[in-house]
Amino acid sequence: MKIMSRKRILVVTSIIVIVIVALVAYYSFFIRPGPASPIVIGVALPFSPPGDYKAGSLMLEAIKMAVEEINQAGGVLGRNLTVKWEDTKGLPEEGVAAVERLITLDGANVVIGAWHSSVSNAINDICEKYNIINIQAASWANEITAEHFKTTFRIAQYNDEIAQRIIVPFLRDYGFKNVAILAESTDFGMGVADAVKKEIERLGLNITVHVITYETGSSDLSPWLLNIKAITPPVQIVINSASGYPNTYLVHKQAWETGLCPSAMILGSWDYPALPDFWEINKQYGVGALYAAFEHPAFPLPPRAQEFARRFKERTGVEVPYYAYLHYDAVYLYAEAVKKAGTTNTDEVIKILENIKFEGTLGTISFETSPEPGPVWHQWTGHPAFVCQLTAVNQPASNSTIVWPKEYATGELKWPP
Amino acid sequence: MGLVVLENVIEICNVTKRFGGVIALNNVSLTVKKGEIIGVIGPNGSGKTTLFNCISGVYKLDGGSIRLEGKEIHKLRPYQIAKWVGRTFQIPQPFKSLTVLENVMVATKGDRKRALECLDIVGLKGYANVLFKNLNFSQLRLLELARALALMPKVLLIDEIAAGLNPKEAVDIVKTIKSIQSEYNIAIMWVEHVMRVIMRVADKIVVLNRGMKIAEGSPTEVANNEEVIEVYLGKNL
Amino acid sequence: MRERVVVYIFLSGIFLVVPLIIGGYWLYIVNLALLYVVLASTWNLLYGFTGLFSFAHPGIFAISAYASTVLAQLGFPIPFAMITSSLISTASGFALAFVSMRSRGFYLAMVTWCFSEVIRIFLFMTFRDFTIAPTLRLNYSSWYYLLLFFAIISSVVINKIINSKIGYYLRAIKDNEDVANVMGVNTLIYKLLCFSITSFLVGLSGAFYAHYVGIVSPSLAGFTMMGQTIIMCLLGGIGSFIGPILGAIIITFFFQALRQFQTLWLASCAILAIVVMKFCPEGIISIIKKKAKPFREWG
Repeated sequence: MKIMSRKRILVVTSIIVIVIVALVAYYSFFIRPGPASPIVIGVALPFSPPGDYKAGSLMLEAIKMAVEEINQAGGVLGRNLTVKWEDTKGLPEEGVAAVERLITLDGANVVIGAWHSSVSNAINDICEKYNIINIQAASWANEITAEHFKTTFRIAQYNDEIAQRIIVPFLRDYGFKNVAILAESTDFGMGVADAVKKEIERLGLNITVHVITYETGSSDLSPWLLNIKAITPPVQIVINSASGYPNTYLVHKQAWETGLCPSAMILGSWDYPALPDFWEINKQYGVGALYAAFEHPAFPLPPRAQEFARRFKERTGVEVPYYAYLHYDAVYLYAEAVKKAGTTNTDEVIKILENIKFEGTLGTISFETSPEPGPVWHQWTGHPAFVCQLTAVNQPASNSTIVWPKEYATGELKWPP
Repeated sequence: MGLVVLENVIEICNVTKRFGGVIALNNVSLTVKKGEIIGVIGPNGSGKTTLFNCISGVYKLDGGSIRLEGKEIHKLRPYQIAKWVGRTFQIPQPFKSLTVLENVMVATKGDRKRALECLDIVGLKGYANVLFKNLNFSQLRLLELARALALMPKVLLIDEIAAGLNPKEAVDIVKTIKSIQSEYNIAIMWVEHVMRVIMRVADKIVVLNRGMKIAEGSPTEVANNEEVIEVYLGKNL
Repeated sequence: MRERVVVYIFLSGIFLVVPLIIGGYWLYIVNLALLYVVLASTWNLLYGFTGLFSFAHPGIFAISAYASTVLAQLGFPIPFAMITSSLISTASGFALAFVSMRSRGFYLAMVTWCFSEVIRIFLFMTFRDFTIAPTLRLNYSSWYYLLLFFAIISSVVINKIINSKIGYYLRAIKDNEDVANVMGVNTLIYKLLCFSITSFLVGLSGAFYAHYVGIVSPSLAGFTMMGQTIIMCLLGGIGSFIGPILGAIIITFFFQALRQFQTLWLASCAILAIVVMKFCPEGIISIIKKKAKPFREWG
């Protein structure tokens, strides 16, 4: 084996370093989108573990559908939209890297992301730093909008909203007195649990709440369900405050297997029976399952939304989850704001967004901004909300019964099923 | 010329060591005087290496005591006993990622000069920057010796150092050990199977069998001991 | 010696002008790579030089990240919070080592893994999903110089340890702890020392991370970071000084290059590990040393 001389080593190393530096400098400084180039929709979502990659891929499809439609209709201000996506992996530092890349290398005009609240909280700092609008269409942590960033706009719900507008009114209207919240140990899971307790206290309701927390990612909830079964007097309903897959599906089967059902009903998270696994996993145990939803066929969405839902199912093979509507809307919302502003300049677009009334798939989107500390900042609060019940095996979510709000109920709450 | 009384350097009193139901050492007692070479012989499994491990602190005793210059050492940790006791191993155990010099510097606590001196004594100074894999078997034995010597011990435990060496190498290594012993007046306990070596070198021989001391005396006395002859199946000692 | 000085000056020149040449995303990644240099080098000191296969890095990292965050939120100056949190993580590392240092090999790995898991679960239960950490108001360029300084100082400290008598003791412990004991080395003390020093540096890395990224989450005590650190050392060369440094830089950029491959990046980790173990078990540094004689002296 020939041994290189020291001089040759130095020369070769220098050449390699200079080439690498030149390439990086070229990409850093010389690749910039010009005015006639596409409007870049930056997408920062999880596409690999430990992030929720299943949700990430569905959200991306919804975004791509919106972009394709807008381009087919002629684009915005004579420019097409293009999607640049980066994987956050569900980790804050990766989320920051993703958004740095989207903004500084890909020239993103807007960033839609990021699903995991911890990542969303990391990336909105970066968007604020670079003065790029960040549309949050999935993360519910109060802190995301509570920082009152100029560039952050949220069309997704926030944790307190779930408690204040769905769970507590549902419990009150059906007269529940003894409730358990099975909260996954995430900010979302425990945040909602706290918000429920706070709201019950604020309204002075006579409802006892037991909060049991479990490790996120657990697929065997039996130990905690047995703990709940042991509570006296017996709990009437268990709210599974979680977003993680598959525990939001498994909770029903395990509740029956541990004997907690039928003495207690299970309200298992939000909009989740969308994936085909639900009935494969639960079979007959899924009958009677309650879940929160933000849309239902009994209240037809606008034709555009129905068309989106139909095409989404054709494209992906799954029923459209509500977060897909929001990501679809996020693109259209931004496009509309740019059109009205006549420019992609962030400050001009922000002025439009702050006063916009946009017809989204789930309702009219407008942003409430309160100067008081809290999450109501650039926040849409007009989400429709229902509590639905599945009444037959293999029933699609679209055929479920609305049991709340009572004025919109399409059937009675049946328990035991 | 007056009578020279050699002081006891190490006193092993009724030492017992068990491993579960097996008694590896059973009430073994012996003393080693300063400057003395004690040969320890016996069949395989008789407890020779176990005895060394007890002295160097690797094993804790189940009974008895070990004193060094009157001080009890059997309850100390091996690194504490290393202040007085240096040893080699039945199968050489160099530190594989260290050079020859670095191996010895572990024992000299980083004193490079003293490490080189020790290597010089055993004739390995020219191999200071060599890794163990480039040493032959005899040189590995010498490295172990240098390392043990580097501790500046009062007692040197030598474990079958001549095993695996050809006759010339064995002679050379014995010469080295004898010169160390005479220059530094170290007490030496020497486990050996190569009888022609130990019988010529040792001042006294101790014979172990099945964990018990069965004979102790001069090489001639031990060679003529009937029980010893029987234990070694009549081998010509 | 003269050639080495020339190389040092050359490298210093490159290091100093990096922020002038790259910015934004790339500089952010370089800064992360500098943190990983410290993580990989410290883990290499533990395992590559002392034979302690430890999974405690994530736990120690997270303890310091959270401690610094909490102290900063309470109003303490961030530099003070960082030093204090590093001392807290050092104490944690020392306590863990004290309890577990008689364990070896598989058992040590399990004990340290349990430690990190316990920390992760504790953080979940106490702090939930994430906590916002006050950030040092620095741009990426300033962060670069700060982290570069940290990485260089850490590397110098590790290099000094490796090339001192303590380095001989640590390697002796790795090669044969019982014989090292018999040769007069108080192996327990040196293992404790090694663990404490690495815990301080890992803790300081965690504190830097907290105030750099601005978010801490219990996932910091999870296995992702540990896995990446091990692969970095494996690729670079476990048991060499330069190897993990090279590995950290290469792997950080390699993983970024795989961004567009989604879940395949995980498979790439496994494939990379297999390829390295099959064809180059002593790491890239072994190939460099064979080809280039001057680098043999660089460990």
